[in-house]
Amino acid sequence: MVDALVKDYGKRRHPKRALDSVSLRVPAGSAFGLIGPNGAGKTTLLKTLLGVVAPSAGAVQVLGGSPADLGVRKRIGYLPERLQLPTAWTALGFLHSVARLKHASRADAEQQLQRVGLGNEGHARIATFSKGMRQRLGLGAALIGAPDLLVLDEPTDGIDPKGRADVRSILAQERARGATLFLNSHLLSETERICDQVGILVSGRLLRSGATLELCGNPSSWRVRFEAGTDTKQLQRLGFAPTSVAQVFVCTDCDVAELNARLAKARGQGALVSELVPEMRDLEAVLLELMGPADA
Amino acid sequence: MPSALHIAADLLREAVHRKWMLGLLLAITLAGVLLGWTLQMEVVDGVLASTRLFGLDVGHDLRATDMALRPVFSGTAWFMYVTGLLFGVLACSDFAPEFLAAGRIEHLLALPLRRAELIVGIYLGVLALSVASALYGGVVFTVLFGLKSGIWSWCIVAGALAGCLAFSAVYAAMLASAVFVRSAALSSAIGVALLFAGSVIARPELAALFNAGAPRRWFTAVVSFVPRFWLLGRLGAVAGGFEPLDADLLRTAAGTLIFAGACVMLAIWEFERRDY
Amino acid sequence: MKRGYLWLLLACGLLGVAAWLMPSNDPAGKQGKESAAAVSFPDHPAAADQAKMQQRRTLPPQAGQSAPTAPGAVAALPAKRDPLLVALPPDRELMVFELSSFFKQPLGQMFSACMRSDAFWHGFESKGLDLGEVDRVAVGNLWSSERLVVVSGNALHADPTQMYRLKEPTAYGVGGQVFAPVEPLPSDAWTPPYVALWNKTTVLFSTSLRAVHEALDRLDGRTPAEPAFPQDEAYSQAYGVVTARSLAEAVSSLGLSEQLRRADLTAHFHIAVSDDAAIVLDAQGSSADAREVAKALAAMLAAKRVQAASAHDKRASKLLDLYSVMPQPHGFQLKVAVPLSFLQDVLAGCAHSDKGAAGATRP
Repeated sequence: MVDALVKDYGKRRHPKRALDSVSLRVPAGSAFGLIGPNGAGKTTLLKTLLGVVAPSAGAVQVLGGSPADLGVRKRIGYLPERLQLPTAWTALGFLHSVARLKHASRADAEQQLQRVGLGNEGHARIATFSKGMRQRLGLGAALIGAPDLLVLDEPTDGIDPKGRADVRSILAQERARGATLFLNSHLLSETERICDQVGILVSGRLLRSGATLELCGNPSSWRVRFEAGTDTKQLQRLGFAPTSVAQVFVCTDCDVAELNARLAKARGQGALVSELVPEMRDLEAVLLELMGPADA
Repeated sequence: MPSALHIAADLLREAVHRKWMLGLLLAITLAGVLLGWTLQMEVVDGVLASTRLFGLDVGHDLRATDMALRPVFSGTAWFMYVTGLLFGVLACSDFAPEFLAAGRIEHLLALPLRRAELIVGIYLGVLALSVASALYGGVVFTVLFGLKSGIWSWCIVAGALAGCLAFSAVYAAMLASAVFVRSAALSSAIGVALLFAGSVIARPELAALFNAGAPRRWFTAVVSFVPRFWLLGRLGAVAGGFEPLDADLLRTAAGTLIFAGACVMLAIWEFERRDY
Repeated sequence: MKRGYLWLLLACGLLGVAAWLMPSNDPAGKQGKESAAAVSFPDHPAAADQAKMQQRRTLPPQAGQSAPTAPGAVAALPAKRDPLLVALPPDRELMVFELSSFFKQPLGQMFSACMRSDAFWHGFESKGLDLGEVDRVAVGNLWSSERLVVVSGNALHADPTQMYRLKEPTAYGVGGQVFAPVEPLPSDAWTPPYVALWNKTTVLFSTSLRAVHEALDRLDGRTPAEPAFPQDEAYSQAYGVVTARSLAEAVSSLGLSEQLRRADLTAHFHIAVSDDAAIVLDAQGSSADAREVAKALAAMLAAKRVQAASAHDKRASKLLDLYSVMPQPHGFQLKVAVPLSFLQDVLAGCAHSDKGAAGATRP
């Protein structure tokens, strides 16, 4: 929970405001994605949650306590944006060190190494790792100790598509375990796919936050694909407008009840529905809309 | 604070891979082996009859072996003291800046670890490193001279450990500077400057250059807390029984440790209030 | 996050404590704190010694003598001479004692008492010559029957006729007066029957009239004579030349006598006395002998040092720490600091000796 959070950097007389009255509440067990343009203050907000940065004003509560509380920090897993790893160490050595500091077992560290796909690289020097491997290792470090909150800053940065899928899978597992995810990613599609809650931060102000679906708007327009052989004129009479794609129609200005009523009529006339997709804005469109033409 | 010890252990693990450190260990070992091969001492009836180094006669006078070796022991202890300090300043200057590097410090600070523990951990790690190096060098040379001459004096080890004591103050100042400005170069410069101040500027001879009265009082006040490194270097000779242990030396040793503590606390203060 | 100033306060407090603990670097506060100076070996003359040596050179240079100069250098003026060193006969052995400074030291006072217990010196003092007026006492021809004792001072009020049973003086040379005994002395008496005064600054004693005359001849310049001991080395409280044989006599208790007696060595020595004595001895002679003696001396001193340590005699042990024997091409240099207690033991014998002045003048 973040309440009226303000963070100023720089000189006392002419401070640069990085966060301006940010208030936010992330439900436990949810996957929250923080999006916004570069320099919006996303990383500052993340660091404030972790106690790495002290707020100039406002209150921060994480997992029911203060981030300064070591008991709270023990329950947090963090992956920084540009994790600097001790290159002379081995991957396993690094995870063992993190496990010691988190009061977790060595076995846990080894398990997380397997989990992020570096099981065979445990004794390799970190200096020999690619960027993606280092990112995986950082994620493995964040996962140590089964944290209740995972704060991930650009977790898929530098990771190949297969790796991204692996990361998504791991994050899904963590959510299933009951962990809360707090994600900062400039890959909006990634955020859209992983997160059910989104916050949009622009110029230090949290312009929107809430369920992803809500942010993208409740669908009042649906795209329906019917099986071939359906009477198109009949469908048009029922309010399904044809599109440029054969057998694909759009139902506009119809809420869920209206949609179901029309579909029931169509099915009653022998039509078969093969695909139904709500027509929504994606996060990018929402972000661009919020930023306005100048910021965009 | 076990977390501080974990950080110290991590620093040591990192140091093991440093070329500087490996170079130091190699240099000490090579010097030991070289001396072992080339130094020949002939002891007759407790008198050092001849000393040969690389086949050349060194030290012609006939003296009791322990007395003849006193300058050697004292000199080696001083050498260990001075070179240990200089090497420490150069080799350890980037430990703190590396721990405080962007991308690493956030990660460390997000762990269940107090900020003070991190600073103390870095400090203890570097101290442990300096003590280990000093002990290694000191023991190598002590054993070497002991085997060659039959005289076992721990003053070389004591001299090296005196270097650690002095370095504890120097590194504390370097650590504080690294917290204020994350720069290995500046950290080294601060270390060298403090060494210079403690070896030259804080000497009574320099104070004597100021006019008696207010100028001298101001000067002595300004340098009053600077550790007197030139005095600490005598610890080796004191341990060897060549010089008496006097109050000035004890006060300097205690003052140096307290100065180190003050610098570490200054570092913690700045670290606690800093955003990363 | 609590970011109080507690750490800063602690840091400032500790800096204050550190400043209080550190020894003052104010030079004014350091006065009197210096530790006692280490034993200073008389291996070179101090500036004050140089001045004193110059001051004592009152005799004109020997006629026809010129100071040796390097090729091409401007010829230097011939050096003036020290009368006491000129009066001494050219011999392998001689000893000079700087009584004026030596008597001020504890050891000197013991030495003085030792001298006064002797019949010759007792008479010497009580009958006219105050030991307090004496600057130096030198002994030449140490082991010969023509032993010569030379006493120098600034203005000696000696009256030999009061001192011993002597005839009225006869003039000899320019500034000399010679006193002979009234009647022949018993042959075993050491007391020198012949006394001479020279310019109220020098008194000569000898068992041989010839030795006295020769000394006066040297002083008056009738016989060409160089100083018997290098003038530039006439510093410290006792100095001179001894042979290995004399050394063997002096340190007979140390177990070195045989080696020393066998060695063909001559040694220049300098002794500086404070509470203890610092001795520098430059021995020259046969290389083989010197090497053997050097080794034996070093081993003996090492053993003495161990004995002192095991007897918990810290002072002796500390002083003996300082010894060194430096072999040289045809000899060696010995430096040794001797504790007062050792010298007291050596001098203890002289007080009870019946050997007369020989015992008294031997260190």
